[in-house]
Amino acid sequence: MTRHPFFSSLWLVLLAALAACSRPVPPVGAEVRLRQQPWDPALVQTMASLPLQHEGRVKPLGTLAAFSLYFVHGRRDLQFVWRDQDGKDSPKVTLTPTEFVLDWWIYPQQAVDYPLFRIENRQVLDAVELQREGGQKMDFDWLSYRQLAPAREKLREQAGAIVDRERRGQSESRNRSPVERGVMQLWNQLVVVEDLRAIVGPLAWEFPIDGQALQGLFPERTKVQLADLLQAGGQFSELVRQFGDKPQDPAAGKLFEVAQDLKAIADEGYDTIALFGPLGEQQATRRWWGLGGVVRPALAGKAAPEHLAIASALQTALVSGADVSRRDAALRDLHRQAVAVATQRGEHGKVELESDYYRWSLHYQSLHWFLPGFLVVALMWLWPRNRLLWLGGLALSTIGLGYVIADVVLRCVIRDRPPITNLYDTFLFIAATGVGVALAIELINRRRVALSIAPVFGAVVIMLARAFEVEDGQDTMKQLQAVLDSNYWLATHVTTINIGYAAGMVGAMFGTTWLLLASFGKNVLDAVFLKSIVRMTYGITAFGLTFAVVGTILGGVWANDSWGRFWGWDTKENGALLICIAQVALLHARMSGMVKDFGFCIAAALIGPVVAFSWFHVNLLGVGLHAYGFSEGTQAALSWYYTLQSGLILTGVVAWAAIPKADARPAVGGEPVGSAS
Amino acid sequence: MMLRSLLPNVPFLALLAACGDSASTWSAEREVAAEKRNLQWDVSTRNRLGLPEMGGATPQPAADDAKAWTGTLPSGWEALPPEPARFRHALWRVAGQPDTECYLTVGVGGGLRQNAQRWYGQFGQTMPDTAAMAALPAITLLGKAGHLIEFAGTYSSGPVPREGFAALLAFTVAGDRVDSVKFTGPQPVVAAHRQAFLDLVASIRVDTAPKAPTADHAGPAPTAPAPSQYEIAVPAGWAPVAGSSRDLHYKIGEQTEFYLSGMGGDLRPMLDIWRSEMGQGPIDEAGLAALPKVSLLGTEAVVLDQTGDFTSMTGRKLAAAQSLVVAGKQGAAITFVKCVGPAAEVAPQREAILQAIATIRRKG
Amino acid sequence: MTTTTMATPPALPKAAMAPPRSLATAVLGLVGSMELSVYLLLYLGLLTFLGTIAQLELSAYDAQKEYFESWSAPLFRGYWIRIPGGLPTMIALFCNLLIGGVIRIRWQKRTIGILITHFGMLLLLLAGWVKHAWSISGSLALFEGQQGTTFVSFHEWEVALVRQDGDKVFERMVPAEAFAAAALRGLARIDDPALPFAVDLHHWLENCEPAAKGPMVTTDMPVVDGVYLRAVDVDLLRRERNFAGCYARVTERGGATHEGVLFGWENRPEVVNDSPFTFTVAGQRYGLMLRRKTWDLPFSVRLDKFMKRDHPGTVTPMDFSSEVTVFAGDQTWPVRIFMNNPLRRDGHVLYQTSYGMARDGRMYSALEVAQNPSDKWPEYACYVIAVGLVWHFGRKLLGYVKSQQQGAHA
Repeated sequence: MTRHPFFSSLWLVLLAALAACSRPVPPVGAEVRLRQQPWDPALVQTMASLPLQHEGRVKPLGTLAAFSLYFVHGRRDLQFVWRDQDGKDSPKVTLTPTEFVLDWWIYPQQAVDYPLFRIENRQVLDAVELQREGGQKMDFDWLSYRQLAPAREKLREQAGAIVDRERRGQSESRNRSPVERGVMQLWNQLVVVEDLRAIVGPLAWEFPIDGQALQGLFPERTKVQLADLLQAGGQFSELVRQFGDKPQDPAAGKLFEVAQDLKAIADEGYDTIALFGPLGEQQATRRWWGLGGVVRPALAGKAAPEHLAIASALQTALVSGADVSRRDAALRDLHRQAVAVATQRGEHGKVELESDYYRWSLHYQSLHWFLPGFLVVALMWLWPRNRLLWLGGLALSTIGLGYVIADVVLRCVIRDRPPITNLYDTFLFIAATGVGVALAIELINRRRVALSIAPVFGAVVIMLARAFEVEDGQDTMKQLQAVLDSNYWLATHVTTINIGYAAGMVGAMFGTTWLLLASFGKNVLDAVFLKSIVRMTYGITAFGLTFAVVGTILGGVWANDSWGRFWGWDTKENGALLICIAQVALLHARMSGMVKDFGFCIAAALIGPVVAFSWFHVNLLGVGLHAYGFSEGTQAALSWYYTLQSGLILTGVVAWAAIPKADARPAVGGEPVGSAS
Repeated sequence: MMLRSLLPNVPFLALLAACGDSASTWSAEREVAAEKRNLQWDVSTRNRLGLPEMGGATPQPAADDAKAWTGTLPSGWEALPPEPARFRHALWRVAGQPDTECYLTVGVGGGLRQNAQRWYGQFGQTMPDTAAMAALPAITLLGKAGHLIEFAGTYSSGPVPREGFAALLAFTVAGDRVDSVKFTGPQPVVAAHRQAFLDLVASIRVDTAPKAPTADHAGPAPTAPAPSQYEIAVPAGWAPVAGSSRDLHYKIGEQTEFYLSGMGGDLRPMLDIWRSEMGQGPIDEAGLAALPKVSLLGTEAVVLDQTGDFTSMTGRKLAAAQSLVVAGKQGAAITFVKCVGPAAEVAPQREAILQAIATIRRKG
Repeated sequence: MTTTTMATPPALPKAAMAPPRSLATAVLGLVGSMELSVYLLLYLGLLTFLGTIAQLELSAYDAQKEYFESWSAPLFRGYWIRIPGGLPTMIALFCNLLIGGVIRIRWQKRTIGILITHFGMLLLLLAGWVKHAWSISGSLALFEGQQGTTFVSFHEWEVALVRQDGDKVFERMVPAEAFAAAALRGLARIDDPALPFAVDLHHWLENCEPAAKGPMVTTDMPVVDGVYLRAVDVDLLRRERNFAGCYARVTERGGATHEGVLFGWENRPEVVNDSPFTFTVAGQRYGLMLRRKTWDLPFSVRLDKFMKRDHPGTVTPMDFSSEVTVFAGDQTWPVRIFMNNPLRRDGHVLYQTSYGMARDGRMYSALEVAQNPSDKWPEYACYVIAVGLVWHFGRKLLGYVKSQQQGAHA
């Protein structure tokens, strides 16, 4: 009972994972450096909570910036070094997503050189005829906006051709070649980056003050910017009216050209990401405006003063790149005005909370407890009789669980929704449920097995959640499609079935644990102890079955109310059914004596891949009513899980057969492990 | 144990044997109210299968084209030159009311069903059943007995729905062919001229005089299609379509039409309509962004190039067609060039068409 | 030893003294056995897996037909090997559950939960069977202002023989599945001695379009009145995009024949399929039409207002709903049908499933209509099963907790 190869090998895995996290940092030529000082963290935090409307909901800039960066860059931050002409590198620079957006707004000449676009397939660059020096050193490569820009038209052409072909039914999006996927991905990434810039785009334009008319409006200026024109919008329109019947009058100067440009801005809208919540008569409009939306009211002299203030503050910030204090004051002013507008519209409510939620990052913090919890549990197995270690492991796991639950609750509050509305939510919920169930079992039987599984399960699922969040690069609080918009069914069916998933996964861990312990430790471990693991596996399977079956049928009842059929043999429905069938078959096989402990635990371990298939894999098939998303990293992770789980089972089976059973003598000590005395 | 493991197959085999083919016969007779089916009997094969309008051929017999129709002009009305290409075989309006229009259409195919559905649809209504149609007030048109329908509400025949509109429609049916006189305009105007309309309908006759030059008609100078505001350099072989209400209207090859037009509103809904003509669903954001761009009249325009089976908004069908649309937003409106024809005709000309589009300029 | 005689026959083993087990009992034992349950469940699992993977190439509708509502299913798509399909599997499961899980199981306090659960499962399987055998579903698409009384199948076709007598139409149908295979190979005869003619259907096409036969066109298909049907590739993933067609030959008892073309139209509200191929026999006018299976509602609905809202600035629909007026007898009343909130009436359920845009740009609301006698059964089954499982496993859990506490205190 002193040494368990199972646990020591886990240490090796952990060390290997840590080593894999370090990576080289790409250099950026220092000559383009415009911003000399780092951003003020307090200001960044303020700006991260700037309210705007994107993809149909009002959210903080921080959320938009983060998911945009994940999508484009595939990482949570942007890292590089400044390399001067002598080839000397500065210390590593790390930009948060919000800092990147601020640079992209205010220092675009610098930000165009950031190593932004993650290119995983060099053939994509060949496809859009983009020359790159040097061979590929890593499995991926970074490209800056400046480097990518020459290929923009080519990229659009290629992406357009793919979309066109699929639209004509000549091919299906799920059958895209790797290069085609790369081209679509890169095009979408480019659009995301350009949309971020379009929020402020026209504010950077300069309009010439030419001719008496304009000079009268803007004395002693040779050029003005958009916010100045908006401020003077009413008078500007008056001028246009005045000169309307004599456009050839030299006094008109460039008046009509400027008017044309303003009209172009109004037509274009610049509202993919919208900063201006309509006020006054337009307050009932649900869709926010971009800069284009403000132009017409401004020209009519009816713009809301708040909107003009937002435009002015943003413009001041844009032109004050060299004057840090002026820049920062303008940004703070911008934030204040934008908050005032959102508040007036009654849409500011959850923005601050959401911004705080991402700053607190509670589920990430849970890792700070789960991982030490895992450490303590590992020590616990070296000194099995140390009650302090048991208590420590329990406490750490419980605190970790508390963080995950708090995270889930916050998400519910922010969205006014039950805990699960999309795939990302399932990770957090399943982590919380799995850890909770394992800890509950531990409290009942105190065998230390459940306690060992809890922090591992929690940590792994949370890490997967974080990987998925970046990989997917989509807002995880997105608005729901109409069919999902039912808090009742989200709360009942979706929650229930995910409890079933969680129990299935945890049950698979119990089964695997038994298999490995019973195979390798058949001559060391106490039979009563091993039997207790089987009983736990049975219990969690029964628990999982109850929720999986009820959840699956509830799903049918929901479908009956929304699509008119109870069961359509849709891929996701089938996945859920497979879990139920597997669990029911397992319990009946055990009851009828077809399988004993050995078969039972192998089967329980096999339910893990079945759950993974239903939970994730069916979404990757890209078919059916429930197909929500597709991502390649997820596919790879699934393959890994299938391989790992089969490998563990196979190892267990081989060891079971290969290690001869010693004489049937009682195990060392005779006392069951973990039985509290 | 052997038996037990074999057992699961037994019910399967038994049930498989029970599955067989049955001889085909009709189900028992079911009685349904006629209004639920609204059956149209004795419709010709071509009309049943929606083929008469194929290829844009006008359905009326050639003899009708040579004829002219006339009626006794009510006071306060004016006659306009007929536009047979738009199925206006005689055309009038209330003087000084450009919103009004009254025209005679003869010999349109499709039967009452298709026509009436269109008429009612234009006012957002459903066609009543045949019995109700038969109960409509009676009129006589060109010596045949027919009925009068009165509409009021939002009229959506053109690109922009017009509220507060009314229409009076007198029609007769003979087989698949429908003759009608339709008077549309703002509701008060139509109401005030109801009797004038009925008198006009009763007076319509085949003009025995040879087809007179339109200038001889009473009233103001004829409003021939306005001279185009645009100019274009087209390749040899494109034939301008005379008398068209559309700008830069050309015929390319046998069946391909090319024209420039405009419409109020946003680009996206229009793209969706053009897509729906080719049996495609609405376009999404990514699809929209990925459309190729060209310049049309100095502004950016998207190119929507589709092949497939074409069904126009008016039901015209063309299999294996190509629809090439270049559309750009010009202020509040959309300007677009549309070119539709058999893919075999359009595809070889594609570059030439795009080049021609690039040459479109405003006159002056 | 051979000479040993006995006054009485040797005592039989005790078991054999019991009344001999009848064959029926033995079969019942096997059919109700738990081993069989496990095999059946695993087999259903395999079938489910195959039916899921198949949806990479098939529409969910076809996968359902081929794997789950079928007597046999392909083991590998495209190969001849066939295995029992979902129907026999679920029928067998039902029998197994009924005999083993309800009748032969010991009715005791400790099996109460299991029994309740098994009852729930039976009800669920029964509901599935009733739906499969007796339910119908179709679509009803309406423009605003339009009133609807019939709904039509999404995928299934029928040929209807109609005649009209004043304000009454009399129709007799034959479903496509009854003649399509025969009409693909040659003539599919549909005959009723009571009628003065027989109908032969031929050249069945699952997806086609009518075309005019011009002088430049050559075709192998029959040409009727200058028109023929041109085959179009069948869309396997989106069945509703296929428009079937076939030819009909009417043969009078006297030998005279009438030839006609039948075409099933697109399922769009602006497209009406109401002109039958008309022929007259013995002074009576008949019509033949190919149409989507058509059913009549016992009431009618008029769409008053269709509303669709997108999330601002996106094309993701936020909600869509139909305000309709229901007409039944002399009564009318307004109802709002929206996502997850269907209209249930007279055994019919109307769901807001979709919407669309007609060729002329008008929006229409697409309602799905289902008539399913077992509509609510799965919901009841769900409650029953939940109670059973919670009862059974709850008892076990309590027992386990108690035993652990006793173990801890011992």
